Amino acid sequence: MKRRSLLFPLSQQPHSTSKSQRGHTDYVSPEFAMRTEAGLEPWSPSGNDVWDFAKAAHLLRRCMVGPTPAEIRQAVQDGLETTLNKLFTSFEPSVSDIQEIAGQEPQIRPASADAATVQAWQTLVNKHKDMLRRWRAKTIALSPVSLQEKLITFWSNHFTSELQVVNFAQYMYTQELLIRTYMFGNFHDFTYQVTIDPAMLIYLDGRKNFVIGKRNQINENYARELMELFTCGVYDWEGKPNYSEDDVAQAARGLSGWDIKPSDKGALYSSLTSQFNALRWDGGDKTLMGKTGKWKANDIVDIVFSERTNSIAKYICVKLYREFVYDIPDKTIVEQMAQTFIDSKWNIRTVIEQLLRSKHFFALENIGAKHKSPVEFFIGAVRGLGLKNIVDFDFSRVGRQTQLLIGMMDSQGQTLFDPPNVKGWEGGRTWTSTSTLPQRQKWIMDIMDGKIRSGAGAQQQTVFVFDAIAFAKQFSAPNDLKKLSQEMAEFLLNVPPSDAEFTVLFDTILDGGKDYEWNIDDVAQRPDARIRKFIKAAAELAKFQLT
Amino acid sequence: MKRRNFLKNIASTGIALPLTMGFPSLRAFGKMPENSPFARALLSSNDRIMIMIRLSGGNDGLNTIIPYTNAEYYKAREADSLAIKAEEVIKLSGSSTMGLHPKLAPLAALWDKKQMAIVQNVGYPNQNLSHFRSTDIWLSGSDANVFENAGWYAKYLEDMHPEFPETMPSEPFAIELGTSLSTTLIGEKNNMGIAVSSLDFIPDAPNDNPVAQTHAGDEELYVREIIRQSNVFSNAIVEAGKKVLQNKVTYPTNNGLAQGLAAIARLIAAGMKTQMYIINVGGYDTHTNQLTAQATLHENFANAVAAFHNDAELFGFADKVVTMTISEFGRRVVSNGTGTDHGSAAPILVFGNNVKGGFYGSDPNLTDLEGPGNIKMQYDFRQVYASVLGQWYGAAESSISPNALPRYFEQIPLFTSMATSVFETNGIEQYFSVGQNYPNPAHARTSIPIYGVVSGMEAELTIATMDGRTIAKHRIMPGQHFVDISTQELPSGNYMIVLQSGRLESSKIMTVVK
Repeated sequence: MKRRSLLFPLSQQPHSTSKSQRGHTDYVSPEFAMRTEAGLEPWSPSGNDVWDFAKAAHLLRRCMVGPTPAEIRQAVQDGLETTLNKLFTSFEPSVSDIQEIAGQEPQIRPASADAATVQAWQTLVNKHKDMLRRWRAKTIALSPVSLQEKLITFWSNHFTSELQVVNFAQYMYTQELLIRTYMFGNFHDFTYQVTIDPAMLIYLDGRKNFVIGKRNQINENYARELMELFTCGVYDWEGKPNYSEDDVAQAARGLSGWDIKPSDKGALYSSLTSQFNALRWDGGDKTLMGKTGKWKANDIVDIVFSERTNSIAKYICVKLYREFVYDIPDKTIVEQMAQTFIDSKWNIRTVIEQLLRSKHFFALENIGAKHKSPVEFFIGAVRGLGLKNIVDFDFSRVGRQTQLLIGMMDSQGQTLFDPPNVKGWEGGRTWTSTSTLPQRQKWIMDIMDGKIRSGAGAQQQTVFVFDAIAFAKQFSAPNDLKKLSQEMAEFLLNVPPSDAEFTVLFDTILDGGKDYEWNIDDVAQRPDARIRKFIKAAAELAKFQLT
Repeated sequence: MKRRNFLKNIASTGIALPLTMGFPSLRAFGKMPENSPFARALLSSNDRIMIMIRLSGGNDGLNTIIPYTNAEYYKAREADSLAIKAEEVIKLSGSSTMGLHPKLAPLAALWDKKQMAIVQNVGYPNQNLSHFRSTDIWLSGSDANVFENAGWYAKYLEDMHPEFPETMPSEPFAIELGTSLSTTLIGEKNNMGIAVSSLDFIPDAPNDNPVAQTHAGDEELYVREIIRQSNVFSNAIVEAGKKVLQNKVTYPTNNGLAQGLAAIARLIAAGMKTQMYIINVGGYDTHTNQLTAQATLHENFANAVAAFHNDAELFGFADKVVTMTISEFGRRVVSNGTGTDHGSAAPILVFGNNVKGGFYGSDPNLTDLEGPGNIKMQYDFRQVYASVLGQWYGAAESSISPNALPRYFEQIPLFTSMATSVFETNGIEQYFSVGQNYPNPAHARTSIPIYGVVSGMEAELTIATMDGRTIAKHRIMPGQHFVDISTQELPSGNYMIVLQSGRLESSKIMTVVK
């Protein structure tokens, strides 16, 4: 979106969708747009600008997947400070469902030529992948009010690894623990730890990057992505390259020598820790970004951070802005965030907290402008609508049953732990397409109609069960049909509906009746069916795709 | 495709050239009765289809089309067992130096029928070795130093269809199989194609209420446009899908590309007017384990493409469809152990009845390298795009550059003919058409491809001015594939080339530049 096109009333340009799809903002100076003058100064109530449902919903929607009506109302009651404190509190998810993989060393492919042995091993590996994906989805769905799961999703889409390449769920779980340790912490240390993380050493071939005597197998894969995608980006904002092809080759040499430690349990297993092996390291002088020395992996990371400080801070803050505010960043704000990031010596919490507390974050112009990712849409619906009987969360079915929730996200292009490539999911408008949108609408309709079934014969049962009455009772006045409708619409949509839209929604729930006759506990009024119809009508609005 | 859009296209190509060349305008043509042979022939054209197959990750060209007599190739790769042994390479008639990876064997039949073109050493100046940047360059058609959000094919469509999206065609211009659109189909103003995965639900049309002047309002308009397109196009695709439920051949299973191509074949057979399909195959980033990984990819690719072209033949649409590969870069000449790092130039493969089969360009030079040891480009990938637009889709140069592509790119004569007119004979679709002359614009001489004049037919080729005045007539003999004409005596400007036989007509616009 060019600044210019914002000067015209958008309602008069029904098809002025300008740049139809965005992305790629990180190659050079990103595309910037500005709607509000509000800056990073802390927001506080003044006059009509009060802490209300809209603001609390905005904060929780940015920091969580699928906050419930009750949680948003609690946040209104708690106020901003208390809510922020809750959000910055991490939690330890239960691992009782994944005892087989959490902290366990994976068994490597058996050398046996016996097909049945290999097949059994393959089945186990696949079962573990299934288990990990189910656990991740369930953890997000059961999360308390905390920024944790949103941030894990964000960082695992930054320091990407693909489960299908890494192959062992055990390594991806270990990587998630690393992310949880550093998600609010020091970004410089985080980057180094990721560099020597076993899953990353497998994913970007770090363990195959070595020199032994005359055998030179320097592999550039990780070196390139460390700079291009994980830290400084290809160019700075003035369009100057941040590194040359020679820097990639030199950095690769410095990064060499790391591999995965053999298991204490013998050759059948692979350990979960990495090790530096000087015999595999290219010990010669390397010149990276003008600095010469016999660099090792930690030196390479240090040099990139010291030589490209500004580029790294801006590159990461653009990503944070896009995650928490809007796809097209505001240049001034990102520059200020970058300064905060540098001044804080790469403290992630400091830079995020400044943004979440700011007038800029809560400006009306910035509310509700994000496209729901599949995780936000599907797990968000499970959590926010309180759907029950999710087969994916039944671990007795691991490796055997269809994953209905994970499968939906998969068909929308977001397979948990498997981003499309090392750049991760592009996000933004790419989530809303002629392919994804009809599936999303249909899914909501099917849930409201109780049509999603699982199992065969007598075992067949309705899944994704929605309790309309319990849902409605979370709002402030479930027996005042107009107020209930307004509040449900505000909850279901990114911003309140227009008058014309509300009329349609309200007619839908009136369903030919009178609003004064409405009583949520009076079965004769068919409140259950009418609330379901209301949600179906809301799901047809474009606003339902946004958050 | 609406009739008035065609007239607009003709007008836009016709008017743009005379303005720069001082040639009398197209006005006479604009008034031409709609039942004139010229008008009718043009209105029935545009049923040419391309399927672009993206090999994502950077396909290693040297282990695809293999220089099996080049000692440098073996020197660079043999130590790591990454070289394909000469005796395993599938030899190709017409070359004693380059052959196919053994797993590409199913493609040899297409090669033998001259339905496979290999454009060697394709790349662009200042090759970028980032997957993502280079993919953007390939998908948009931009220069390496230009950051472009819109794609070459979408820009071509936007130029052809200024009425879109206020007026929507009944069927999408382009379809990408997958969950989101790649840059190629994203225009300056609008998405010019749609992403399709499953189609079991058709959304209702969106409302037109005003939106707030916020970022959320901007995004809401975007979502509404997606809903609108889903509403219109999903219906068309679902209807087409109902018409043809079975392919004519069995496609390999466990092969995503094959399943995608099978679906596309059914849509084409059902008469979908969509002219561009894009399908993506990942996994080509073979830094490690290349020998096994690429063999599997090649096997899947070759089986899928061979099945598709067989299917097309049996369905009867083989003359109007081509498939083409693109990949963001080739790979390093020297291996890194068990794989190869990012490289630059690599071959593009094009398949189809109307592809002029054979090699284009010279064998890759493995001693004169660029950057960290990469193959230098011989053809710019945009030369291939220009050929696709100019020869396959019949676009005038004025809508190719500087519109779809940033500037002029010389075309490569990749396509022999364009099917522009369809008639039914005993239920079998046949094609009778005149192709775009090459070169176009013509200077002294040009060659006009003829297609579908079969035994027992009498046909005549007429060269006429745009207002319908005949300049020359040529009798076309059955089986004749080309007419070479001199344009020496013709003043600069646009001319009609019309091929007629009984009730059949086909025509093209030829440009002469002195």
